[in-house]
Amino acid sequence: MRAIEQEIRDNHADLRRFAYRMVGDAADDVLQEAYLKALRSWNRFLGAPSRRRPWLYRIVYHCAIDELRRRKPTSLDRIDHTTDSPDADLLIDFAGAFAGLPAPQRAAVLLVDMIGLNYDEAALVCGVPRGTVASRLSLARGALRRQLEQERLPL
Amino acid sequence: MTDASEDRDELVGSRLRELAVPPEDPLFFARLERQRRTHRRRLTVAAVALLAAASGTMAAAALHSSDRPVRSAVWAFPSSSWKPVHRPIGNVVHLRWTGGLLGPAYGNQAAATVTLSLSGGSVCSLASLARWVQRHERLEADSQVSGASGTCWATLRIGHTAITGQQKSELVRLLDAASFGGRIAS
Repeated sequence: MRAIEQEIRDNHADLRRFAYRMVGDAADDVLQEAYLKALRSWNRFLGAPSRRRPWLYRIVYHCAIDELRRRKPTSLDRIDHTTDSPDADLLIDFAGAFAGLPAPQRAAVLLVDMIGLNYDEAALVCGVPRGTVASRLSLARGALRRQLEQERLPL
Repeated sequence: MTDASEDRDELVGSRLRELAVPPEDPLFFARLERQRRTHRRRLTVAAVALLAAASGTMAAAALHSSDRPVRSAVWAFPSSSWKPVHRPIGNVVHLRWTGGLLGPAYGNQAAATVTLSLSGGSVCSLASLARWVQRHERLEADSQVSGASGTCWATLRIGHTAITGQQKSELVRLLDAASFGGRIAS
């Protein structure tokens, strides 16, 4: 198995979670398109092995943004917010607040807070300077924090 | 939280991880592999057709190959539409750009069509063309070839998705370079 195939398999669960929170039901289509791109362009990837993961996320991110551009602005409600958690109602509100964020802010929060990329990696994924990632994170977290406070959840 | 920090918001992260993600299609990777093979085959079909046209071979020659993509090429380009073309002049060939991109006429979603007039064969230029198609992964190559005496006209249909203005410009540039970039056959 080529290194890129291994990288895809290793990161697939997180990539899918990321794609789903970005585009909802279209996540698998987005992933399929992104993986095909990654597989085809792998032989032109010249970065260090540590760059493989952000490179893969970058492809998925761009495919997700393309998908969002193709669709109508209201179609984010296709994301299923159901959960088995005892805090289900709170989570659904949280998910609603998250889905209401602009796509670049959602991506920043997902990449850093959920996936665990550092700021530089997230900047590489989104193709923006590090400071822009920080600013998007700050705005997004502010909105989410307000949502969490409304629900009287400790932050 | 300052811009310079690299802190993670653990609560936000854990809340996001708690949100459900629908179960995965168990055939996801199987479908991926199928698409990958299909794409390769389409590229090969296009390359085979163009190369065959450029070098003046007949479709019948392709019939003798056991290679699956070539069989597809034969299916896609019936032998009745093939006519002999000029032989290559050494390794230098003439790839003339004679057509226009017709995409806009069919709306933005339409496939773009380019028409090449090939006299002689240019493995190098055609390989460049194939590489160009390959670089734009969302584009698929599908060719049809019809004959005219002494000249082979190859139509390369690119894409079942929208082609961007930048991609069009790039293709035109490539074709212009191939035709007039200093390697014109004498």
